[in-house]
Parts: sequence; structure tokens; C-alpha cells
Amino acid sequence: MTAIQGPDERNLIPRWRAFGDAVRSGELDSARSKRREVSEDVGQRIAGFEEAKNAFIRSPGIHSSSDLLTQAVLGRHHLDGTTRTAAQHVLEVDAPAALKSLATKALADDSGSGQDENDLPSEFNLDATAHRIHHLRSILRREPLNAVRWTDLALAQVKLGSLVAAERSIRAAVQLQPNNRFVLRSAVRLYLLLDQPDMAHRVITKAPANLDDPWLRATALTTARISGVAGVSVRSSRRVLESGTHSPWHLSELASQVATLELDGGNVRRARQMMRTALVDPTENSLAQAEWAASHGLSAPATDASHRRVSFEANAISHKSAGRFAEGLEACLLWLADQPFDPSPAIFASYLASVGLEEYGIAERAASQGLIANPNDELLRNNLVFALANQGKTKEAREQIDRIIQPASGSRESITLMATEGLVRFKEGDAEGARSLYAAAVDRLVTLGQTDRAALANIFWAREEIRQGTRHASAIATNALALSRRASRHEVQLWSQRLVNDLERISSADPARDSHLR
Amino acid sequence: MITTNPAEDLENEVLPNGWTVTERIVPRPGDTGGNFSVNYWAVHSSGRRGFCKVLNYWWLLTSGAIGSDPLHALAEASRIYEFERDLARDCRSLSRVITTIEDGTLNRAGYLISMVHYIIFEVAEGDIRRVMDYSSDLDSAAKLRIVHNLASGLRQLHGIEVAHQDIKPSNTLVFPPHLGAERVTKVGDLGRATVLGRPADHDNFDVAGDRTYAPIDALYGSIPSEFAARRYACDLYQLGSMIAFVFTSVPINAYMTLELHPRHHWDNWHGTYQDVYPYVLDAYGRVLDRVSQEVPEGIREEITKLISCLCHPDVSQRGHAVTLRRSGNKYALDRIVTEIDLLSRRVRLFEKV
Repeated sequence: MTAIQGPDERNLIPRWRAFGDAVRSGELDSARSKRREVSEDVGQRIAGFEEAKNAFIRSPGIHSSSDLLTQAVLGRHHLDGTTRTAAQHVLEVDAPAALKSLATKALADDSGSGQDENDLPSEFNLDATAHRIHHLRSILRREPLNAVRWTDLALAQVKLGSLVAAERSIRAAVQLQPNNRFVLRSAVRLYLLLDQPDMAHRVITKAPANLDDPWLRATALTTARISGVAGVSVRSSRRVLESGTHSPWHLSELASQVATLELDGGNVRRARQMMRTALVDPTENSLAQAEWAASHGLSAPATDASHRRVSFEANAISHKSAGRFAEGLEACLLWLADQPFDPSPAIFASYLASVGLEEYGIAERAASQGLIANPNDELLRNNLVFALANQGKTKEAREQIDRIIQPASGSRESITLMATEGLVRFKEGDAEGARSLYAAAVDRLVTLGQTDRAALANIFWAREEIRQGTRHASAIATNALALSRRASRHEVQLWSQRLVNDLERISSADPARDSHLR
Repeated sequence: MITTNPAEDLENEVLPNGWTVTERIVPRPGDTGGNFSVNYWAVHSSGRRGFCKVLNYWWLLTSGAIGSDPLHALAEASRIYEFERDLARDCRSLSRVITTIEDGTLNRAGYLISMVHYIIFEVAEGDIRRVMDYSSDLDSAAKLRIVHNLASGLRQLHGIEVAHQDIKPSNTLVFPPHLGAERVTKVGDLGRATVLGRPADHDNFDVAGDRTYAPIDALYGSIPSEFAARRYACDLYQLGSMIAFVFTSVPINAYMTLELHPRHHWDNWHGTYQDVYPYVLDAYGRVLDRVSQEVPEGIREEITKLISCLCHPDVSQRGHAVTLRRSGNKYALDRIVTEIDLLSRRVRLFEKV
């Protein structure tokens, strides 16, 4: 049986993206609303531009063009005919690449064409990541004090599952820039992945001034909640939210995490108010948190601003809840491409691919990708086994299932695994062993009141019995259909219909066999 | 032409010491100085040409440019003139700085303001833009000599406790080869200079000179309080930027604009310099990489290293590594000048071979 994580808890764990992607997302913008004006003799700047134009008119060439374009671009002067001529001159002659870029920028700035900020994340690629590590290492040999690249190196290493090396790299970055938002939020993400929430909390709260930054304060609240330590006050965070010194965008994650904490404390009214603040100009992570909170009874109306950003996670959850599995999987794969080291999207994607769409190849790839950075995640490996077994890759499924460290008896994971083991046993020809495992799993799920999961496990079991044409098939199918009538999830209804179709197909193909099944 | 302003009526005037004012230079829009001074060509009886700058008292009094109180305006104008004159005199012995040949005062009877202050400067062939664009003989060795001259000029200024603060292509002036000697480059326009212990109006600006070429830390509003870090370090940054301009035709701030994400660009950043510094440093790494690709292979490493230390975005890291480790002036240019000199000699030898 394949599974997703329980939706009991969700925190505003920072996303971890490569520097360029993080910048484009806007999460590395300055949180201050007022800028310090730099005083200058403005006449000097204007005179410089005019002088550069005269010089170009007198003696047009590469260097006079460069000076003029530098003055135009950096001084934000409107491009007149002379400057445009200089830019075109540079583009037409054999000029250095940087100068051509400057000319292009001058013309683009003037026409108002900007950069595309909405690139979709590209699919994870092992070779490309390995190449990136090589490239980053060569940069860091030249620039050992570049904390940004140490952080990017750590991310690339995590993607390849080199967690020890990644921890070394992030430590170097934190040492160089112990107050930087990009570095610290990345470090927190890594330490949480390494299951070291205390370390994550220490890193972010080491300098008290870090809490002045709403993004870092939000992260500190998250690490405090996960590690169970006190130290970051919700009350002072509320004051930051109400101070009016930061724009809604910069407060979104803080408000979202405070809402989550208010929800913990049972203060639904205040939680709703905070979630509303979070959604004025939300980050995609806040949108995902709101989607999660909505499933916990905390609905806060999303403002129009929320539509400006896309949250792959929020979309995946909402599509799945509505039974739109193809769209859900598409969103989930983008979420996975965005956070390839995170087990959650890999688990979600493998589940949706298998259960929603019977796309076992996609499920296999998603689970395998998640396992690179999370080799001990039993749920991920379980989903991989399920995908392999359903593709007839029984030997590989057995190899994978043998690698799973047995979770605590009676846990959700152990029951899921029991059912999956049942599936593999069926494929291996051990129907008797498979049956007892499936029966035990279904019983326990029913006892725990997890009707949806029980129904799913029962349907999978019934399908295997039908495939093998056993005398138990009819009874088990009947039981599965009865259970599924009490279930609510779309995927259970989908599978129950598939089971009915299976039964009908067999019935029409071989009435004798059908009567046997009955 | 009848005029009430003697500064505008000096054509054919014979000055003391053999100089004659010849043609008035009509300012083009943007020519620095504006109406503050009236400029002429002058010629010496020896045939030497000079650039004659005459303080425009009449304009200062009537334009309200320095206040509406005429007495105050006069005093202020005199103070500005004296600052420039004294600074020019201080620099007279500096071989790599544009120097004054002559300064003085004339009394022109029949005018409301009879006093005329003037300064005659030496005349260059042109600035570096023109020379770089139109000279066919500029190999790496010649470019290194230009850079060496410029660094020497700044070292000379620093030696008399003057920070230039406005080094840019238009202020890097080139003199033609003369009597078998090679072309000489000099630092020009001391109009935005700061002299230690001698305050000037522009000292109060965060950016004293042309903002386009200002050090990146200043553009983000990070202004050191200490004189050397604020003023000399500015010259170092602009020297590094000029080295990039000479060898790649693009100054450092233009590279930085290309490499910094617009969200982190100084025009858009609202936070502190400390907050943005890691991103600036990262962009700077890419800038150096780009610069090195444009520099000729034989001197690539040395030139990139020079620019790297001179334009470092952290002002406390700016300058020669050895000088930074020693006590004394962290921004001393001696080692930089020596390194460029050695490099230029090595390249010259190599090119001859």
C-alpha cells in the first residue's frame, strides 16, 4: 500500500532554493521600508552624463560609448538619440561581451522590458547537480569567503544525498555570515532535514538581532515549535506584525507561523486574524500553510494578491482534495523540482502517481529522487516498493523492502508497510503470507478508525486476489466495497470503482469464474 | 561687445609672465563648472598653450547660486577660489597630476566688479577615452604605463594628504609623447578633492564626486567616518575601476550593475550595506571572472588581482594585501604602484622579445 504523511502538523519551514531562485522569489528583498538616501551633488551627475555625450559626439568609439552608457544606465538617465547611437554602435562593432551586455541593458531598461521572474523550476538532474558541485567548488577555491556559494554548495550536496559534506559547507557559510537571511534560513532547513531541530534553533537565535528580521523571526518561531524550546515570544512577534514597519510581503511567513501557534493554543479567532494578515501578500509557503490550516478548520479568505504567486504545494493539496489527480501530480512534481531534497513532495508525488493515476513509473522516479537525500525515510521507500511491485519489478521491490528499518510496531508506517509487504508477497507467489499481512493491516486500520486507508488496503488486496483468481477474492472484494462506502477520500471512490470494473470484466469474460468469485 | 562682467571680456588680454588670453571656450551643456567659471585658451610667448579658468564673480553674485547675501556670496566665492588655487599650488610639483602653470589676479578698471581671479592649467592631448579609441599603438605595455601613471598621480596626491574622489575617464588626461619620451597620463580636475584638515563644501556629500564611479559601499550609503577609509579608499576603488576600463573598456560599477540582481542593486536596496554585502561579494566574484576573461592572457592573473584588491566591496579589505597587514596607512599605494611598474617592465621586455 502506498501512503502520504499525516496532515496533523505543518510548520513554516523555510524553502531552500539556490541563491538565484531565492532572489527571484523575493524572499531576499530588504525588509525595511525606507531607504537611506545617499547625498550627492546631483548637478555633478547630470554634468557627467552631458559631458560623456559631448565626448562621444566629438570622438565616437568603444571607450567613449562605454563611459556614456555607464553614465546613462547607472545614472538612470533617459536614453536620448546620442546614447541610443552609442548603444547601437557597441552592438554593431567588435566590442567586449560585458560592454555589449551594458548596451543591451541600456536599451532594455529604456524600453521597460524586465526579466522574467516566473520561471518554473527545472526537473532535478543528477549529472547537472554533480556538475554544479564541481563548478561551485572551483568558485570557492577562488572565493573562499563567499557565503552565498557555500550555501549553494550545501544545497547541491544535499540534493545528491551528501549530507555530511553539506553540513560542513553550511557551517562554513554560517561562520562567514552569521546574520544573513539566506544563509540562516538555508542552514535551518538543512538542520531540520538532518533531524537536528535544536541546532537549527541555535543557529538562528545565536544573535538576538536576527529576530529583528521578520523572516528570521518566523523561522525562529518554527524551530522553537519543532524543538520544543521557549525563547521566541509570540507576543513580541505580534508586536512586530502590528508595528507597521514592514510590508505585508515581508510579514507573511511570520503572520502565518504565529497563526499556526495561535491555533496550537486554541485561539482560533486570533489565528484567523493572523492568517488573514499572512494572506495580504503571501509567500508561496504561506499559501501552502493556509491550505493546510483550512483543512484544520481555519479558513481565511485569500485576497486577490494571493493569486499573484503560485504555490505548488498548496495547489497539489487542493487538487488532491478535489480529486483532480493529474493536476495534483503536475503541481506536486513542480513542488518536488523546487524542493528535491524534501521528502514531503516526493511522498506526495509517488502517492498521487500510484493511487490517483496508476502511473507507477512516475511514482518510482519521484520516490527514488526523494530517497537520495532521505535514505532512511521508510514511507518513501514503502512508496517505491509499491510502485516497483505494481510494475512487476518484484525482485527490486523485495530488495528495497529489505532495506527498510522496521518502524515501531503499531505505528502508521508499520501498518502501511505491512500492507505493502502483503502486495510483494502476492507478486512473489506467497498468497498465504500476503493474505495474513493484508488482513492484519486492514484490521488494525479499522480498529484505529482510519477507514479510508483501511478501504484502500482492502481494495488493493482484493485486486490481487482477483488477479490470482483465488477463492477468497469475492469475500474480500465485498468487504472492500463495504468499507469504501464509508470512506470519504476521492481516491478510495476511484479505486472502489476500479474494483467494480474488475469484477464486471471478469464476470463478462468468464461467467463460471465469476460465480466462483461470488 | 559691451559687458558688465570682466570675466567674460578677457579675449586678447595680456597677462603677466608672458601669457595672452586668446579664444573663449564656449561651454557645451554639461561641461563641468557651468557658469561658475569662464574658460579661455591662453598662449605663452614660448608658444606653450594653456587652459585659463576665470572665476565668474558676476554670475555668482547675480545667480543666487551661493545665497542671496552679496557679501556672503563674495566671501564664499573667494573661499572656493582660494581652495582651488591653493590646492593647485600644492600640486605644482606633482608630475602625474594636472598642474597650474600660473595663477593671479587682474584689476579691470571700469567694471562694477573689477577683480578677476584666474588660474592657467597645462593642456592635455585629450582624455583617456579618446586616446584608447584612436591610438593604434596601445599594446598591453602602453596600457600598463597609463595605469602606472594614474596610480602614481594618486600616490602623489595622497602624499600631500589630498584625496581626489572623482577619478573617471574624463578626468584621466593624456599628454602626447614629447622629445622621445613616452605618452604621460595625469590625474585631472581636483574640483571634488578633499584635503585633510582643509574643509570644502562637497565634503558633506556622501558621494563627493560623480556618483556613477563612486565606490559601491558609498552607493549603498555605507560611509566610513575615518578620513582614510572614506577618502583614500575611494581613490583606490576608482583606480581599480579605471584599470578595468583601460583593459576591458568597462568600469567596475557597470560590471556590478550587470551582475547584481536588480532587487539587490543599490538603487533598489532599502536595507543596510551589511545586509546586502554577501550578495554584493558574490556578484563581485562573478565580475572578476568576467573581467579576467577580457584581459590579455599574459597579464590576466596580475591585472585581475590588482582590480580585485583595489575594488574590494569591503572597505577594510581594500588595498594591497601586504599593506593591509602592516601598521600605518592601510590605503598606501606604494606597493600597488611598484607592482604595476614591475608588470609593465616585464611586459615591455616580453613584447620586445
